[in-house]
Order: sequence, then C-alpha cells, then structure tokens
Amino acid sequence: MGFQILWSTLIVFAIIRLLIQFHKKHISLFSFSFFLLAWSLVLLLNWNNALLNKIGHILGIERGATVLVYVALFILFYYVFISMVRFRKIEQDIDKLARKSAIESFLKSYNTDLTDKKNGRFGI
Amino acid sequence: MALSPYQEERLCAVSDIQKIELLKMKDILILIPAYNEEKSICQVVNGLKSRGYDNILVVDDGSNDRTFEMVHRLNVYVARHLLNRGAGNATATGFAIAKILDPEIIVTFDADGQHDASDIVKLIGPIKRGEADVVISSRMLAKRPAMPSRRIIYNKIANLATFIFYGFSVSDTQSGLKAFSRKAFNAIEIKSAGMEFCSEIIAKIKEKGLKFKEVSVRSIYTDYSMSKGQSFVTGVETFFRLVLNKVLRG
Repeated sequence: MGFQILWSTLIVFAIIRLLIQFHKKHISLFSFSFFLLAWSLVLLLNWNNALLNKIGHILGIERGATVLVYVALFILFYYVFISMVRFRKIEQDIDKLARKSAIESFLKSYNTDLTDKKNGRFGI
Repeated sequence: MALSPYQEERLCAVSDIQKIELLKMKDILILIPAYNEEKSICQVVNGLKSRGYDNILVVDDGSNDRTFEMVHRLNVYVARHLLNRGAGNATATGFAIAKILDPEIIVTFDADGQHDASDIVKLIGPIKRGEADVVISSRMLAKRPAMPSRRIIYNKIANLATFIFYGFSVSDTQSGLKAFSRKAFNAIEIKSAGMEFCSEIIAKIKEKGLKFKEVSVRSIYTDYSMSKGQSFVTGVETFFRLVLNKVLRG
C-alpha cells in the first residue's frame, strides 16, 4: 500500500508538471497527450493489481508490479530521447546563429577588400 | 654525417618551397580555427607568413582570452563566433567564408603550434597535380611516430570508431592539418559541432566520392600543444557524439 501511495504521488506530480508545461506552451499537443496517456495508464495499473497481473501474464512477466516498473522505465527512456533530440535541435540552431553572425560581421569588415582581387590576396 | 629520414624529409620540403611559386600561393587559404590560443596564435600566423602564406583566415571560436584582438593586429582575415561552439563549427564557419573567398585550396591548420608550416607543400602538391581532392596529414605513417603513447592509443580508437561507423580506414582521422580542393570544400558540409567533425569529413569523402590521399608529417609536441589537444575525456565525448550522429543522422 505504501509503495502504491508513493508511486501515485510521483505520478500525480509528473502529471501536474505536464499540465503546467502544456499551459505555458512549452510542449506540443502530441507530447502532452502521449505523456498524459502514459502516466494515466501507469496510475491506473498502480491501483488495479488484477489488471496488472493479467498484463504481466500476457507479457510473460511473473510479477504485475514489475510491469509497472517497465512501463515507467519506457516512458522515462522515451522522455530522455525526446529531450536529447530537442536539445540537439536547439544546439544546432545556436550553431547556425553563431555562424550567421560571424559571416555577417566578416562580410561587413572586409566587404570592400573582397572585391579587390587584383593583388591576388583576395584583397587584404 | 648521414641525415635521418626526418631531416631528409625536411630538406625535400625546403626544396619544395620553390615549387610554391608554381602552385600560386595566392590561391591557397590557410584556415585556423582557434579557441583561447593567445599564447600561440601570433607565432603560428607569423610562421605561416614567413613561409609565404599570406591568405590566412582565423576563426575565433568565442575565445575568453585575447585571441581575437591579437589576430586582428596580424593583417589576416578573422571571423568570430560570439559563443564557443566547438572545433567542428569553427571549421564549418571557415568553410562557409572560404566559399565566399573562393580560393583554389583550403588548408586547415591547428592554432596550438603543433604543425610545421613547411609541411603544407606536401599537402597541396597532390591536389595541384590532380591526384587528390582531399589530403590529410598523418602522424601515424612514420615508422616510429613521434607522438606521445596516450595520443597514439586515442588516435587508434578514433580510427577504429571512424571505420566502424563510416566504413573508411584512415591512419590519422584526428589530424588537424588537411588540404581541400575547391571541389572538395564545396562538396563537404560539416555538421558536427566538436572534434568528431574530423571523422565526419572522412565519411563525407567517401560519400561524395572524392579522391583522397594521406601524407606523412611530424607534429611538434610541446607542453602547451599537449595541454590544448584532445584528452581522454574529449575522446570519450567524441565517441558518444559519433554514436549520436550515427543514430540521429544515419
């Protein structure tokens, strides 16, 4: 019972965080729906041992509670992957900005010189 | 007194200096990505200039020290990243600017002083003769590489990782001294941020069907260049970035 209450508290906390993130438009509707569904499923399974054991039996897992851990792990791994992809995208956007700014400053500094190729040194 | 193979090599390089006239040095752009290199950058740039390489582009990768200010006084091209974005990004910015300057050959050169400017002729020769589109210097081709043992181990791991991920075997994937023909630098688009861009270049050579050659060079290892070079931690980081690149980009 204690374990179930602890799990439920954590899941409720995760769902509240999810709602806040969606409200602030930090996550897309797809991500919100996916995680809401996933965490709700974990919450449901947490309190429904019969269903949990049945799913465990179908999947060949002896203990129903282990299914719960697997589901939670899957969600977390998926979340880490999504975060990694998003983080990478942000990094790439920063890279592009840094490059664009460097090239623009460069062109501004050397614009007149670049047109002068007569001396064979691109103008310097 | 008999000359060592290295001394003989150096003599050949000196005689090659005369050939540079024929190679039209004005068409060679030396690209130096630099991050916090105030201690070595002036010496490196002046060393290149003394060899007759006047077209030098330094890409300051958001240095915290006076690298940018010092390069500015040296009468060379300088571009600056506002933030530190990694060696791969600095080189990519250099390539992007090179496409505007449109030289015949780009030579990438490390800012920490580990390369010998006289080795550049060995790299541009095969491109000028049409034997290669990309020439990579190798510190591993010598019978007894003058490379610290931990660097050799790191290098071999990087070579193995590049072979596993990209199916291309190169003796020194991590060498910073490389030459690219116009065709090559226009075809290669660097997307990697950090040191893994070296492996990415190898992959792009294969992907774009570019002609490739390796030439033997010696690096100058000082306490400074050792402190600036790749460590075990950056090696591990590079390996994971290679894995990530493979997973996300294929």
